[in-house]
Amino acid sequence: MNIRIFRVIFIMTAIVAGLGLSSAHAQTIIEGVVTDSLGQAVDAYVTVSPKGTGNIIGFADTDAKGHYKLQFKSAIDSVVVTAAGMAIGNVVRVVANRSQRVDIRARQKAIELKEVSVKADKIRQHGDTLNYTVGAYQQQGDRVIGDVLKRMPGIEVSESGAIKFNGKAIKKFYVEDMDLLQGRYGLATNNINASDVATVQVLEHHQPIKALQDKSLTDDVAINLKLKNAAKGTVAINTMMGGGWQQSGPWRIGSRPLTDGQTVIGSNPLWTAEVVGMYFAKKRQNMTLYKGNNTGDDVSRELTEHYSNINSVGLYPFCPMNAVLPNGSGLPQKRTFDNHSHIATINHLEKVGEDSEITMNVAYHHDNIRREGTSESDRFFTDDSRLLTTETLTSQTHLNDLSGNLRYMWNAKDGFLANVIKFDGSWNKDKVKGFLASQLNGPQYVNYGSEKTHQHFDRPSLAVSNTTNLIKNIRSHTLDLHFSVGYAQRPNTLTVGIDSLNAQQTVFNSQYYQQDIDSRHINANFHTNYNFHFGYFTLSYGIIANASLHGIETALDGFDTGNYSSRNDLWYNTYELTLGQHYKWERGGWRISLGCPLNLYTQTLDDRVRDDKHSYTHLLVSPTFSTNYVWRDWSGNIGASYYKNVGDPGGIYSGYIMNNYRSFQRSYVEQLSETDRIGTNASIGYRSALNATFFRLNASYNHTRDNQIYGYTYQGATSVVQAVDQATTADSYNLSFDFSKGFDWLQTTIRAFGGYGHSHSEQLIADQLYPFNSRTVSIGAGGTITPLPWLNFVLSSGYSWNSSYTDSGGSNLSRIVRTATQRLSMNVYVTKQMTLSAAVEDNYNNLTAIGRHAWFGDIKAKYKLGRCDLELQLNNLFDQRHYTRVTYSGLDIYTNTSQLRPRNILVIVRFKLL
Amino acid sequence: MNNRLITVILALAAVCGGAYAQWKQGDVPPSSRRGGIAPMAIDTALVTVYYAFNATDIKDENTYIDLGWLQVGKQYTKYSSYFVAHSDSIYKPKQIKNSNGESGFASRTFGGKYPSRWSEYQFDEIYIKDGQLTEYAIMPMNLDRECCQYTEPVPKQQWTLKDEQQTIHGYHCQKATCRWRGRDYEAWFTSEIPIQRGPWKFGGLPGLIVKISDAKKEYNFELVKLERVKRPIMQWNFSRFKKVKRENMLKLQKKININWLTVLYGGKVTSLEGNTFHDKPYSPMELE
Repeated sequence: MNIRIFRVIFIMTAIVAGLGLSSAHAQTIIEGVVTDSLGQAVDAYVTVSPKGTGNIIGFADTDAKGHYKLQFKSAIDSVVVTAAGMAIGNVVRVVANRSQRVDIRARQKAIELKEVSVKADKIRQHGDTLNYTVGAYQQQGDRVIGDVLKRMPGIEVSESGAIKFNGKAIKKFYVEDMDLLQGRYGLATNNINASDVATVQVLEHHQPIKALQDKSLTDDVAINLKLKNAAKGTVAINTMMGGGWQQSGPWRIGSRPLTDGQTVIGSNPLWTAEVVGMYFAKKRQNMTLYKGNNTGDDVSRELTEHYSNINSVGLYPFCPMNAVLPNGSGLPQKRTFDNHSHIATINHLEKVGEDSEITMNVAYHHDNIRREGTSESDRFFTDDSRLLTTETLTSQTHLNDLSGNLRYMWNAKDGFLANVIKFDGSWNKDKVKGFLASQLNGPQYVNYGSEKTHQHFDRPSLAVSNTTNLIKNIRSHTLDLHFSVGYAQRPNTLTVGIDSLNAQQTVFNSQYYQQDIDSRHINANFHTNYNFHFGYFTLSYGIIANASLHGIETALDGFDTGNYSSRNDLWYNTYELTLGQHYKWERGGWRISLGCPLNLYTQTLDDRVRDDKHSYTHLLVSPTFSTNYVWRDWSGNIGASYYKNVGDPGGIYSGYIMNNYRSFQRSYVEQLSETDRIGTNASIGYRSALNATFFRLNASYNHTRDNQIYGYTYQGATSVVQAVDQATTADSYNLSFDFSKGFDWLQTTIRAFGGYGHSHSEQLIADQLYPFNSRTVSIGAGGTITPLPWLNFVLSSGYSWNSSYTDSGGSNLSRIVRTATQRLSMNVYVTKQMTLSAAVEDNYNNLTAIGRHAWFGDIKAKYKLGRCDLELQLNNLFDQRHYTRVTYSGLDIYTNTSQLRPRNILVIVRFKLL
Repeated sequence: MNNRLITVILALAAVCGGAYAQWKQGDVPPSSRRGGIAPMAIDTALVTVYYAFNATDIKDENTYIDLGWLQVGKQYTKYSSYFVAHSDSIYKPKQIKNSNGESGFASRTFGGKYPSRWSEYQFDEIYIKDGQLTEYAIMPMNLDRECCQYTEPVPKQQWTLKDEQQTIHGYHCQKATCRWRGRDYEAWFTSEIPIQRGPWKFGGLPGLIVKISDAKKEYNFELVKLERVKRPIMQWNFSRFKKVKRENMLKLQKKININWLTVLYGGKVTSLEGNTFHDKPYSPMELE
């Protein structure tokens, strides 16, 4: 019975539930017609969605008569029926959820759309790679990629062309992932058209050796230019020619002879020319160019090697002499050089296999530079007397420099092999004419009179080297073998003629001082490293063998060297055998490393003049420690190191050497020079691609202890320098920051930087030790803004200020030097084709007696005419003829006045041949 | 003979150029010619939609295989390639500019990741009018004679509407799925834009398709730009294009992608050095 009742209840419940369910999901049919205001059928479709959800649950098209039929299931009370179409937009009706007829009469209405465009972000980040979209930073007047790089937040391009990213110098520069230029990346930044580059990639923690990727993290930063497809695989040839005239100066083609006194920098007519050929393909890259001018442009700057691709041995044939040239004013060379410059370079890269390539770079630089200037020095002599000298100089420097390197590289996942042959030869000389006047001010006033001087410095040099590096992965470990050997020679001669020598002629039987130095340097270095990888630990052990042989022969004629010799003939050799050990722990964002190489250092001296042979052996320990931490956009590091340096070729010669016509030096002391240095540094950095913000703060402290000090004494205006066996210490503290931020608003980028430095050291003058303190504060800020985009108006300004002063024991010599440079430049894009640029620059120095502000103005007009770019330059608008810079070293004041190139006009035509 | 030599050299160059492409892997050189003498305006586009085709980075045009161009007019809807249209010197002799506004005198390339390779999804043009869809297949260089066309009723994908919603480029979008011609697709459409079309031959949803990809992620399109600028819809004179069945067009295009030299010479081709040009696997969008 009970069972039967339960069965009935169950069946009835099931029926009720079934009914309920079926009523909840009963199919609703809504149909009707969609017509326009005239009752005509329109092309549309109708959707239905439950009220309040926005989710469409059914839709139907209208037929030719405008009829539609929607069928759907929904438990909701009311639904939204929408008729939609291009001609009517969206017409909405809210109706009860039951089968019914809904006719919709719609008004003709154009649909409203919000236009969208997925814009490429200015900066995008993929892991350790930041991609800067060139188009987002490029402005109308920008011709080459270097112009655009300067605008990218986080990237800084110095006057020399060196690139830093967030305060760190870049270690590699690639075009399409290939290192064609081997460190001479100025060639790329100054010649690759900005419009050919799609993206500038900044590669952080860059490991160029594929076999070490995933094994060894680095802190290095590299830049890679990604070209647009249209620029790949095609030969591009750009040419430029220009001519002009300057306000005064002789008409002359070729170099000018030296004349005494003050003559105008530069000669008419002015000319400039260049031809640049480029080819970038997948398997081959080439860049060949010629540039020349007499307008002061330092084209050789493009040949500067900003990094060395493989650690070749350093070759420094010892030559501590030079001609005294007019001192630079600190202004760009364009304003101060009277030049005839030519550079030519061929760079070629060929991929010879999947992972291997051959690169060849040859560069030649020829220059003829004339400079004029007057220097005044006010030097500390004793506490109550100062030595004043005034020197007017005209110099001519002939430069011929030929360098080349040939490199083979195999860079694969399981190994790396590179061989580099380098050659560098130069045959340079300086000729200087001058006028020197000197006097000693103080209780014992002495006028040393004035005299004419002639200097002739022949300084050819030659260097060759070969370097091989092999890296091989053996299971999970890595073997690194590196061998480098090189030879360099400098047979140099400095000849000096001074009027007063004529009077002494009978005594020394010479009208000249002549210093010959024939210096050789042979350097060989071998190191091998084996890295063990155990989980988060890397243990690295290696053997480093280094032999450095300096052969120095010198002879000085015409100078009274007293009891000491005027000759040196010696071989100074050092041999080092180092057991390297380096431990690294890497996990998450942390990297802690500790190095402690043990160095068995042997030095031999074979002095053939003094007939002295001896050798020293030392065990040197140079521990280093560093910790790095990376967390999201933040990074920080702390490091400390200690090293000891024993002996240097500058401290072993017993015979006098003429450094220049006013300075003679002998450096020998019985005891070997020993230098201990402790250094610590810390930095914290932030970089965010998302909000284009870059920040870095650096702090460092260095302590140095030397067992010798160089002491100065004066004989008239001539200084005599000798190393003295007396311990001395120096300390320096530095704090610096760099901040930059880019905004989308008015294409704005702002940058601020600053630093504080404090140093303490000692100077030995006339056998008296003077403590020397110096503090420097510098700050700077700059930015660019485009306030009126429709007028394409750009404004940029930079400001820097620094102060330094010195405390000297006893006397009050403290002075504050304030210098400021302000530059305002303005680009007006008159039309799409025409750009006008104007720049005004003020250089301020508070110690300059007259004309503390030096103003410079330049105007440039560019006009795009099809494939041609026309450019008109008006330089040195305010016709500044001299510029004076004052520097203060703490004890001495130097005032340098340079002759400047007068107001000039240049017309330049650039065109693309291919 | 000379022609053949040039083609083999071109093929060699393409092979040397690297064969790592996921798309345009056939290294097929692009088409050299278009139909007719000059294109004619057939309608005015009221809305133009740009789709990134198989992009690895939606914000970087250089990673697209193509920039699809959907022009919606009163009568006609046309889907073609913006890259191709704007690199065509005959079509726009003075304005060889890509969307970044860069001009170039350079040799004819077609933008995107592999600018000098052919793909039917870049070179074919699709016209829809009065419920009929016509596809004009522009074949690669030296296969010009194979250019063809077919017409079919506008394909209707059987869409299943899903509850999932998301906002894409500021538009409220709803998910829909379908199986069409051998592949499963997931699409996101917006009812805020009452246009029942999308890239390629996709459409029929109650609103514009903003994003669509197949389940294997071999094909995907995403809207990157939408503008309301009235501009003419141009059509070339395609009268010389052979009328064929859709299946035959697909078969031919598949063969070209697998090994275009065998299509050209009717058999395996060996280079002067004795290398044989091997087949490459290819899976077209329309499998049926």
